[in-house]
Amino acid sequence: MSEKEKIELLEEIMDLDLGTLHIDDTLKDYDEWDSLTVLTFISEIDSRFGKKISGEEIKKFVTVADAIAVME
Amino acid sequence: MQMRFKGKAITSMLGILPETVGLFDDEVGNYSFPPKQTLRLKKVMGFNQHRLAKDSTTVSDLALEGMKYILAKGWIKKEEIGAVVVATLCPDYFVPHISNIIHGECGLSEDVICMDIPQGCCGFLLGLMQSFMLLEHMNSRKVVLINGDVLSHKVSKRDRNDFPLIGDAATISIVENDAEAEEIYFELNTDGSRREALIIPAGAFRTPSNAETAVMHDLGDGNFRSLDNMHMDGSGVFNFVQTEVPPMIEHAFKEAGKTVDDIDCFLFHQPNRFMLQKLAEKANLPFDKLPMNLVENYGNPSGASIPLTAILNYKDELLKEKKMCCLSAFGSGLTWGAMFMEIGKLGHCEMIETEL
Repeated sequence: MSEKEKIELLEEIMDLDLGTLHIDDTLKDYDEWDSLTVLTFISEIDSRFGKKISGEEIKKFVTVADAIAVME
Repeated sequence: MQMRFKGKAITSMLGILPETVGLFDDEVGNYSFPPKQTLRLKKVMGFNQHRLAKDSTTVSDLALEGMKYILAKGWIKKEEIGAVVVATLCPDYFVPHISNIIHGECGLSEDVICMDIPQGCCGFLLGLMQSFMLLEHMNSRKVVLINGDVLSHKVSKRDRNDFPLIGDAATISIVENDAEAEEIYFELNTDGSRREALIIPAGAFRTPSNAETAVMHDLGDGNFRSLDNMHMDGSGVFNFVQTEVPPMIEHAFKEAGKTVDDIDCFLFHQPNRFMLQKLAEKANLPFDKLPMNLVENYGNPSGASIPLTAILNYKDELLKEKKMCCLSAFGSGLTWGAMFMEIGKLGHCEMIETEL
């Protein structure tokens, strides 16, 4: 998956229009970075990458780069 | 633990709903989040409306309404009752128990066994297990199994994690011996090390309620609640369900010697639509046989979810025919279980509303 595809997946998870997010954006600046996004993130990482991730780990992400780093 | 029960059946089911309906749209302003984000939950989680008992209403009030109804309608005679089993998280008092209140108010005979089982999401499965074990010793007498909760009283109205999904309700199931019944397979698992994922921190003996435990705090996620309120670790519970339940279902199928095609309906605990969809996807279960609509209609009433889902979706069919059901519940404890059981040709199956 390219960086662009990973950002698009994050946009899909956060229910944002494509092209909204940039790699250095701070996640907390978006209202969409909420509890529902955390659940969707857990579910997508599990189904697409076969990986378990906890809510605590996700809440430590600061930037878009942190979030997409686990997408592999 | 795995168990098999022979010659046991549910013969009637009643749902008891408080008449007050809380609309999710009206509650959006209670939360500290932008309304647009809160409304996103409506679509994904299936939040729409939930039933709320009046502040003064207890589980015994709802259950008594139901007991009076089934006794008056002749679903069961007092002298046929051998035991009253109540599974709930919401006792009227620490002492006496709700089953004793039911016993006294209904004027049941002195040889009736009364027991309360403090249990949340798995309350129906645990209640059935206990009922089946009692029936081994009861010949023709029957068990009245009551499930119910009024958890809306214990959840903060400013907590978007917990309040929108909670609903108040009770159910009564009549359980009895039936030599013709198919064998029932049941398995139940527990992980007490993760017990704090669902907790009401204060109000019992460890931390009695006081002025301090009633203070509302933003606990760092924008939701306001006090130590007297129930709290669920949403992502922890979601991960627990996704990790533990699919392999348990697979294992249970194997042990019961059944396949997905043998099952007419999957009657699962109803946390919210999102969690059920993800669970069904992961466990490869057909969406059309797995109702996910309890939360949007009535809310999640904890242990009463499974019987209420059966009544809501299959009321008329369950009167006419037998269905092979896969029951599964998962939640506080943490506890997760599955049961394969034929349910149907019920004597009675109804939903009633009360002013309570």
